[in-house]
Amino acid sequence: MKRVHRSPNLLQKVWQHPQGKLGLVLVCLLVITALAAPLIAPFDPYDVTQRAEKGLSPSLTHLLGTSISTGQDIFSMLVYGTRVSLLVGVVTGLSTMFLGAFMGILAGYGGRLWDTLIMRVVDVMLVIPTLPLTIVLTNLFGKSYGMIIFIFTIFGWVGLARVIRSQVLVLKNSNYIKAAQLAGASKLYVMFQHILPGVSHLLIMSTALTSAGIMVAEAGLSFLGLGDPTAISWGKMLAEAQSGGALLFGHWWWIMAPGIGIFISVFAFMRVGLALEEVFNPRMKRSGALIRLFKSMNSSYIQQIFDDMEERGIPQIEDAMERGTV
Amino acid sequence: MLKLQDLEVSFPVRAGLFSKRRCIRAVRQVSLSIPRGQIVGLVGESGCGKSTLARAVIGMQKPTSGQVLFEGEDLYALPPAQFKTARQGMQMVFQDPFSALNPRFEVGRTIAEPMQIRGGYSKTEMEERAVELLLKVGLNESDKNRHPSDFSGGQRQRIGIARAIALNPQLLVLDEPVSALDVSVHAQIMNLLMDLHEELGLTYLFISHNLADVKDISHQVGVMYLGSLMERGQTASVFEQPLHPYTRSLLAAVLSLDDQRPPVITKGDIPSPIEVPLGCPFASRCPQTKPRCLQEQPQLLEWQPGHFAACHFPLVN
Ligand SMILES: Nc1ncnc2c1ncn2[C@@H]1O[C@H](COP(=O)(O)OP(=O)(O)OP(=O)(O)O)[C@@H](O)[C@H]1O
Ligand SMILES: [Mg+2]
Repeated sequence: MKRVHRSPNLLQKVWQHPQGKLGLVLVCLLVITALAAPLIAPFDPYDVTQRAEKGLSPSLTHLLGTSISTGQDIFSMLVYGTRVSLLVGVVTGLSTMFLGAFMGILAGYGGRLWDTLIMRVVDVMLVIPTLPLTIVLTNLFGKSYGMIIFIFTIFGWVGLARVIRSQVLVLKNSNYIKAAQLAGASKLYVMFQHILPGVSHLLIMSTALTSAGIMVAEAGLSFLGLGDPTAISWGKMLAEAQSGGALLFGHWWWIMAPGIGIFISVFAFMRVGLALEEVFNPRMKRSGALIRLFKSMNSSYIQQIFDDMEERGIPQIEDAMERGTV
Repeated sequence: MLKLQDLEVSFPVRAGLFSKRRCIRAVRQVSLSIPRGQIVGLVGESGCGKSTLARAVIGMQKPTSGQVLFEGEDLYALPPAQFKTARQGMQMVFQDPFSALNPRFEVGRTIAEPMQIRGGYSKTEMEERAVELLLKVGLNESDKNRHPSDFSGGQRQRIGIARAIALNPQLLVLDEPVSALDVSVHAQIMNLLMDLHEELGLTYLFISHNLADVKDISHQVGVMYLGSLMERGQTASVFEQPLHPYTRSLLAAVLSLDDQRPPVITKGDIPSPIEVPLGCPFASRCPQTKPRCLQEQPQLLEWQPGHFAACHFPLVN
């Protein structure tokens, strides 16, 4: 049987996925908010001259009131906070993808020596506790988002590299690569024409999922005071709300605002990531959406997905391609 | 055109944690030659080393010892650049038509890939040639824009064949090219292979465990057992007058032999390739084993003109 129509592309597939559509819409909204923050926010929270009376309740000028400690407009802080969250999340997602892809392909396709070397490093990285090390490093080298991105990347590539490596090992033995080698293909040709496209779907998915996980982690670190002290981020807003006595004065909106911001952004990226996962791997129906969402708040869940895929065998994705679902 | 001399391929294995290292001798001292334009069939049970031999022939498995002479040159002794050019003179068709094609490539790209890799072709040249090849293997021009997932096993095998002949190779190694296909498709692909052989003057090394296929297509046959070549000769003489008891038992199992000799009944199991016994590899299952068979491995000798067998007591009338 020959099908005549061309299968829709990846973006269309995610768009057709009911949860994926919501995720994509939210991601777009977040990006717009981050880019157009000065247009959306009524005040510039970085500008000390634009501070109002401290601890105002929500009103038309101050939609979410002002902070008790500094008198900054909370709604404007919420809008500007999107920038930090997205920037750290997406940049880390991308850098993790590049490092993970590089290491995974090098391990899987670079020969025995690289494989042993990289897999030993992976084993070591997996047992190093991240949080204490982050505290030490930020204290040593100063608190900045660059540092946070660096640390998350250094620890984040490990899981991805493992998945990529096992997929590369599968691809390496496929007959179409043997046929290319027979025709005289170089290692670089095989890598760029067959191997890299063969793992690209894993890379796209991983970027979305990692970004989501990192946004939670970034909020956590900022809350602990490990983020850039000069930047306005949701995690830092939460910390200020707590130390400024938001609960004491009943200013629940001060806490809710960054909380909802974090929730929505993680939700959006996670949705896109999981929709991608189902598009690539339709047989693998996971637990209900709500449970997954709670799980997704924990960044180690991403690792679980990867471990799971490694166990069940990634060739399934190849099967999915065979059946034309991708 | 292709000559194998005492080809030996062994893989180191460790049978257990504390046992000493052993070797699987997947291909044992095989000598074989394939004249230009001929089809040489290779039969043998699963695991007897056919694929390993094929991989050694096309330069993907360095032999432990022995030589692969392609156009008179020792393939594995060539410097890398010449090795590459020599190897472009041979191509392979794979058993599994599903993993043989990249699911992300359009068929046209798959077929044009060897030309793209070799270089020196313009885009239109490659496209035209891809279409020509598609038609040659019995597909349509419009198929070039489809993906492998749109095709059945037999059609995919046709695509694999088109890719294999894209660079006009002299030698085609066909490793069980029809084993994975349904009966009807099976016959179509066999016919296609025979047509292409005639039309393009190709040389084939045709590997199969199906005796009927080998009989249909080959000029000469080799019979392998546990890595060794047991018998070889013209197809007609091997099939009508097998010299080796192993060949005879293979034939008896499939074809009805209409001669008067008592049928050979093969008993026992195939020994593990790790522990191939001293003497004749087939001795443990042969119906006519004599003490000499257990001690001395028979050489492949020419018992009749052009008909070789590795047996101390061949079935010569
Ligand atoms: N890379 C390898 N490492 C170790 N052993 C191997 C390797 N490749 C093949 N072998 C062994 O060599 C023997 C011959 O294998 P081969 O695949 O050549 O057999 P075959 O005749 O092609 O079988 P089939 O009909 O199943 O394809 C088998 O026992 C196999 O286990
Ligand atoms: Mg085989």
